[in-house]
Amino acid sequence: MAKTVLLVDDNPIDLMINEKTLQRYNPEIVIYKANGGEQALAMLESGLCNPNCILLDIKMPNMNGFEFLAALEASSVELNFGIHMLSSSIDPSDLQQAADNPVVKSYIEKPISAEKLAKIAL
Amino acid sequence: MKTAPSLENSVLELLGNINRTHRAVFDASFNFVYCNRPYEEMLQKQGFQPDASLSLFDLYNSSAKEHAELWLDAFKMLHAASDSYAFSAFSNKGEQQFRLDAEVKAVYKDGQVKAFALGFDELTDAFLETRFNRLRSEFLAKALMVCDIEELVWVLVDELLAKLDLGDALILLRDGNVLVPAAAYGSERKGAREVASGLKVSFSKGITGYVATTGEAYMTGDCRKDPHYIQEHFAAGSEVAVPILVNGKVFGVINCESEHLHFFRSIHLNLLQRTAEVLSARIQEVNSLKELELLEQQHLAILNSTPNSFLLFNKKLRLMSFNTAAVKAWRHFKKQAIAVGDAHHVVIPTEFISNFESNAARSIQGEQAVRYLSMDDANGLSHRLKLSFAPARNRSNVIFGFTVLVEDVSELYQANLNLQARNAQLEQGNKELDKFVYSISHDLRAPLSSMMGLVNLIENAQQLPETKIYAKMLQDAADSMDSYIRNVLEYSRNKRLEVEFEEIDLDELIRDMEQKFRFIPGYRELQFETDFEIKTLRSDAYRIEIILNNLISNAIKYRDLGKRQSWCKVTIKEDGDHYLISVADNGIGVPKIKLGNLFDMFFKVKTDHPGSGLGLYILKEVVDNLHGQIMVESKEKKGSTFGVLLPKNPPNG
Repeated sequence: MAKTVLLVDDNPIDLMINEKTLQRYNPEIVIYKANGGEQALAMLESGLCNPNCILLDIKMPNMNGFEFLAALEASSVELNFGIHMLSSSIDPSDLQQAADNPVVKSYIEKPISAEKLAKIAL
Repeated sequence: MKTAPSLENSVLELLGNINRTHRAVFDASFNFVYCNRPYEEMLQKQGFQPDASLSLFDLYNSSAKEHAELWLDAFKMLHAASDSYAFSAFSNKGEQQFRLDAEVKAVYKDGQVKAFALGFDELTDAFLETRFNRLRSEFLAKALMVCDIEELVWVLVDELLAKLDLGDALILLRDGNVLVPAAAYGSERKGAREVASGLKVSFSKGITGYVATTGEAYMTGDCRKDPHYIQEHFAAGSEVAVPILVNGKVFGVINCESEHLHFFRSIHLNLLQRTAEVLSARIQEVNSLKELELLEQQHLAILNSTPNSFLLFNKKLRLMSFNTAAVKAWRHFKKQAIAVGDAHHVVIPTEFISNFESNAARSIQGEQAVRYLSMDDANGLSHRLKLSFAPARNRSNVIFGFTVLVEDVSELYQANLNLQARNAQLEQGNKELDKFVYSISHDLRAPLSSMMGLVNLIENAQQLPETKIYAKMLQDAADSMDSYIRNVLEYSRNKRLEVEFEEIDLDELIRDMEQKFRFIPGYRELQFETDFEIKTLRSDAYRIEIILNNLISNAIKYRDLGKRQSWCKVTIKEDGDHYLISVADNGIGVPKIKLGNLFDMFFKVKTDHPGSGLGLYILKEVVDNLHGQIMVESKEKKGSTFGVLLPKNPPNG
């Protein structure tokens, strides 16, 4: 069964890079892109998108990665997918916050690559 | 004796004034008018019957010549001096050795002597002993009032030595290794309070020197034969000297000399030694009083030199003592004069009384305590006071009260508060710096990771057009990173550099800036216009450039591509004591809800723009640095106008 991945990032270039890299890694993966936390939440809540996995950026305006996670947990969305944080942040507090969150499966440092995707067995 | 009934009142009065063991009254021809029992017995022993038929001349022409001569000489003195004369007499000649302490008086009528009276005591050991005891009590009573040793020795001479039949007396006091004459009686005395010879005596010279060196009394009956004797003023017959020992050390010497040989007896030595003891005891008292006074002075000096208030309370919480600082402090704080005996509730501010009482109770139990108190002085200024309670103990270590030390620690307290505030600021600053560093590293890594990702895509790209798109994106990411780094640098320079004012030529500045703008994509499509009401502007050139650069490049970057013609207009003018710089455009504008955050660090109106989110934050920092203000007017899709109002003479300009 083809996997479905939701990419959440405020930077359009990074969204594009992530999409292309995923496509090359596995052309069968269905990719959804959200230009920020609010949009991603709306997509999930509306049932428009039912991903197996979310690649979530941290530093985003309005609603950052962690705020998105909090909003997600508070929402009616069923958490039947894995979430991987994807960020260029090397702030230890970000790393710690990610590690402390039980919903987060791993923390991937940008840029994404085939090797990193293989590691998380996507 | 059948004379008593015929005595006149004046003669009786005369007799009453002569308080002597032996008394007699004579008429003007020196015939015996009255003779009391002891004198009568004495004369009878020598074979005379004193009655009106016996005159002093009868005695003079007999075996009692020497005795009669004594009185006749004395009456002569009386004639010359006054109506009363006292003297001591000593005779060592012949069989009739005698020692008398005598006085003579006369009664006059119509310029003529009407009667003579004499009275004398035999200076026996017992008599001297009795007299010494009386004189000592009198001396001690007087000495109590005398606290100066120089004065004391004179009192001793006058009250004791002069009345003890001791010949010429001299008191010498030790000064280093010499003895200095301090007081004298007899031939050594000059005037009321002056020693005839102020000669210092070497510590080891003569009899006094011997006594001073050995600390032992010394008596010689015949000075001529004495190895220690050195003649000073006249040839002394006999001499006695005793040391004045104070605390076991020779303090001085009492020296008595007589022209007579063998004048001094053991009773004299004995009395002199006891006199020295009396003096020594008083000197010790005076010295310890002086030491005490000195100690008190020193303690007071210490207590009064401190700006801190020191108060001593007794166990009943009444004020026992305090220093001058306390007086000042109470005047300053409570407009109150404190006094010994004041109850604590009079002295202590009402709101602190219960606290004071509990600490006082603990101090009386032997504990120490420190309390702090905030209090306004009479001028309404707030002070922070530190109160240290401690038990007050006497020499036997028994607590008799407690002390309270009041220190005004306002300055320290304020410094401490400032330090705490500063510390909090620094901690906050450190946190911000941490945050800043991570933000910067993230924001630098963000375009960098994009670039790495794009390089990755380019490596695997199949076709040239695709590669070109990636290359363009790569360029954007690099530009974004570059502008970000520039911004960070500007931010840091603004923070670090002192504001330096100079005359700025505005046309020249804009010309220089246009050279840089030319390379910003979109500048060529923009209609750029300037309207300078003034030619020059006095400010910090570097910072003015940052302001203009930020605003103008924003106008370029955020131009509205949907409009036929984009424009940007820079206006600079004077407005009283301010300059107004405004940059207006017809760009995309800022949505109303975002206006509030416009100057926040890392804030971007639209995240898909490649900016750093630092530009306007830095603008605000720079304008703040110049003590200016920023005003924004913006409408989405219509355009924005940024106005910067700068004072011409900021405090740091």
